Amino acid sequence: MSYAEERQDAAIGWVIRLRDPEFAQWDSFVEWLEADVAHAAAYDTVAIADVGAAAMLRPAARPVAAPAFAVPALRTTRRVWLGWSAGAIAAALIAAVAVPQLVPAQPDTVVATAAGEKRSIVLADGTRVDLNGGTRLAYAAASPREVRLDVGEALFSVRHSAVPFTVTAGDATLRDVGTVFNVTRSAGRTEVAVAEGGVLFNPEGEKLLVSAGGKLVVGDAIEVGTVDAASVGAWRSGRLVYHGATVGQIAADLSRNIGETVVATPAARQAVFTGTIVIDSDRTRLFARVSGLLGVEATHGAGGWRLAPRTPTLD
Amino acid sequence: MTVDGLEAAFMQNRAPLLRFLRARGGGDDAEDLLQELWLKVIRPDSRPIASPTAYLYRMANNLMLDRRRSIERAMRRDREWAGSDDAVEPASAVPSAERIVAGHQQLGLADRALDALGERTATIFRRFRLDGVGQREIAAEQGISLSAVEKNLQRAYRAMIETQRALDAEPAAPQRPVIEGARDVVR
Repeated sequence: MSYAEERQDAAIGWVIRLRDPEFAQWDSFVEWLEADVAHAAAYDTVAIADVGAAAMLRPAARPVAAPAFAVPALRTTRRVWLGWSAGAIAAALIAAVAVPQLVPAQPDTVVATAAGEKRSIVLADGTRVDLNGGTRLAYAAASPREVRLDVGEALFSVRHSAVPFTVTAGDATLRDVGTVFNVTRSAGRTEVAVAEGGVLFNPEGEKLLVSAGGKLVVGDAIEVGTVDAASVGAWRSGRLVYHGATVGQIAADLSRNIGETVVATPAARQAVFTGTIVIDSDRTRLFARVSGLLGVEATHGAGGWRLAPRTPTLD
Repeated sequence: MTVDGLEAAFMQNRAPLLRFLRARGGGDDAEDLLQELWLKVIRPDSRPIASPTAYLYRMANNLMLDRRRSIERAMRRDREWAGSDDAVEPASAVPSAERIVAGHQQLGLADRALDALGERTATIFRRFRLDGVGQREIAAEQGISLSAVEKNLQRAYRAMIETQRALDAEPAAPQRPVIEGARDVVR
């Protein structure tokens, strides 16, 4: 056994002995610490791993046995045992609270809208969901407060209850702690905009709170931004409100709202736009408007609409 | 014994406590750390304590451990920021320690490392560390000697130290960078 290993084993011995709240051999402990400057560091390493162990291990499912050393009259002795450090208590509590509930609800109801179709539904708990075109939502009758958004866009007006309302969109979990928020999901990208109240993103992971007027875009990175709360879900009244959105995103939104494929060419995709597009049922008028606002050329073919950069006369 | 008793015990043990803090790695900061300990001792919510000297040493030991953990957290943060390409500020209000804990548990590395040592060792460690059962009682439960219990605990602790080392070596959990201040964002 190497010297470092011997030292570590000795440190382990001390950590184990110190776990006994009746431990009183402090002078022996000091002697060991003073015997070699490396002993204190060795002890710290083991002690940190000891604190970490309680946090890293999944809590036992069975009820915890009463500690053998508990002496009821000496409350503070017990406190010393539990009070390994304030950090350890916090870590232990978090470990208890953050046990991931990995049993997925088996959704047995799917609601889907056709391209360009809008629909409103009310869930069993009274939560109202407004679905945009090309949207698929799933939920299980057994767990009415858990919903999965596979694709598309939905505005949730959550009925307040003791049970939190959760929306899963890809690997994003959104827990509602308030009332009104909009979720958009397309390939590799989930967007959340909150009108009222607040939404907790990935309660078991990043744990970001998005409040009213806040917005989150989740993809390779997580982008936190602001949004005009009044314009969240404005698509329901045929208004698409943008601040610095790309033409590519707008094309995707248009597809969803009008039910016809709208694609921006690679050259047109990156341009940004700030303003509002009002959806006109007359497509020709709508795309004339889009053309002017976005500075693109809109052409209609068999596959749908194509947005390309304007043929430049000046560039 | 009352709070005054604890204060008196502190006064009597000032020199040995200072020595302890130095031995624990406090170095030149030992006097300051002793002062910190004193402030904790005189806090009004102290309750009657059976053994004040042991209590003081326990507090001093915890103080040193917390200090070590803060230093390591700061070092880890510096390493991560030094390694990242963009000057990205974490937007989350949750302190990184909690995030790290949640991440580690989800990875299940510690459980697997412990279970790999066999059912007896894993059980003994969990009884000792999670259930808070003493070594003698565990020896009785398992029908083995006290030294056998100690050996099992040693093995388990070695595995936990290794797991801690492995987890400290990489970013805590698959974390995506969080960027603040975006409106409709360009990807």
